[in-house]
Amino acid sequence: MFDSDINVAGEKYECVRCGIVKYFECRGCLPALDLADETINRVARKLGEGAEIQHGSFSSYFYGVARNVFHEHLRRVDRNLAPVEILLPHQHPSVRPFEMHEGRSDQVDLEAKLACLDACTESLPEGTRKMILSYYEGKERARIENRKRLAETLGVPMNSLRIRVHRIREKLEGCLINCLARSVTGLKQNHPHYHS
Amino acid sequence: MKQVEENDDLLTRYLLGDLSEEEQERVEERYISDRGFYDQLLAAEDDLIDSYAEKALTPQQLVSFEKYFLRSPERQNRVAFAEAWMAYVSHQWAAAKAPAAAKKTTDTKRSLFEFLRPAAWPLALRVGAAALLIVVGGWLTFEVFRLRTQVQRAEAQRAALQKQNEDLEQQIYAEKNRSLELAEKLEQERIQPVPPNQVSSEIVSFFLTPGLVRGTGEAKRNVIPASARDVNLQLSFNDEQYERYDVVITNVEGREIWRKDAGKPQSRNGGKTIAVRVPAALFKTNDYIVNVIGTDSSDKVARYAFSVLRK
Repeated sequence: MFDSDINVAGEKYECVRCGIVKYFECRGCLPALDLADETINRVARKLGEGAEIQHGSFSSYFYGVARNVFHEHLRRVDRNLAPVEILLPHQHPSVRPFEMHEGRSDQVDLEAKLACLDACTESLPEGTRKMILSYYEGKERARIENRKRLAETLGVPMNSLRIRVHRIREKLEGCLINCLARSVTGLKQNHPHYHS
Repeated sequence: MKQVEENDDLLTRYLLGDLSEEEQERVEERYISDRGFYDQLLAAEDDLIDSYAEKALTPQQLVSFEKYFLRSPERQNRVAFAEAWMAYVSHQWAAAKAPAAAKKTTDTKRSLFEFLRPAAWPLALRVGAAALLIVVGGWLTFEVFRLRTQVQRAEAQRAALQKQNEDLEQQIYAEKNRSLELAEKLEQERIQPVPPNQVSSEIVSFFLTPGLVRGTGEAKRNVIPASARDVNLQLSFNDEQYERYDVVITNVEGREIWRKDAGKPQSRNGGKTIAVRVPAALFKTNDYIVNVIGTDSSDKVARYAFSVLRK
């Protein structure tokens, strides 16, 4: 469908899938991943039913299907909206005391995040770690000039550097989430009254 | 580069929901089909989130960001990450700069502490330091002993001097008393005329008038006992020329045997009286001439013949 080379086809598929996920995210749809999967499944069904897609317009076809899914989603959300008064007791939005306590202790939360980020950054290869720290060195104009120098040093265009940094950020973000999850797990074990 | 900047601007507006529906669809179709444009969208999203985390958005962007962009929980999580990341990076750079400034001070302190720790010294230096310590310690002990002895000696000298001073003060006090007694006695003798031929065991007084010849012949001689120490001569005369007068005693041959400044005369009974005390040993059984002369002159104001009999 995407390419005769299975590897290239895989990359193109992943690219389109990421684009569709981003589309639903930017449109404020929840959950974006589920809607993206629904879009891909529909396209696959159409192709299975013998639909023909002109070469080079796969992504446009995907986008068209995604728009349909999006509009259907909007209609479904409108139907499912209900006032809080008619919700059953167990459906009421609530705040768990422990989570509320966590929200109040922002400083403790930040310290935990910084500790996790420290561990996550340390786990990066040295060159990668230096690069991302250098990327965020300085403020405003100095930071921009610093990034230009960094791109020159690495011998890549500025846009490529930004993408590299984005990929590292994604890794760090995932690492941070896992690290904090481990911390919360440890906290739960140490707090018998905590109920998840 | 310019194209990248234009795309960034377009993508930022897209992320903030500031594009028309048509513009949005064009952007969406493009990033779904164009991997490079999609990557640029991700980078623009990072920049936008970082700007929000660093409070660098314009007021209009801030409103759009919080109303539109932050609708999804995933984006809220990404903002939370960005805030933590920015805090982490700031902390890292601040920590990297602070130790550089503090390192020099710390190194200096560390080297000083290292130097002050004898265990870190080489063996030769430790032995030398120990020897020096012994020598200096011995010298200091000797100096302390020597200074203590000097202090004790000085204390003894000071006590002796103080005692000597007290003795001298007592002597001075006694001499003053004696001097006062003598002055008082002399004054009394000067005021109270001594009768002629009055004899005491120490002082013999004679009252002489000018021209009066006393003691001519054996029976009229003035007796001066051997026990007499002094002879008090009270001489009367009439003269106003001088303030002070000298008394000169000569023998009959005219040879001066005694002279003294008698000072100012006292007025008495319309005349003047002057008193002198002459050592009794001066006189032998003989005749003498007593002269009263104006001080600093050779003018003889009065002349007395004084015949002595020593017994």
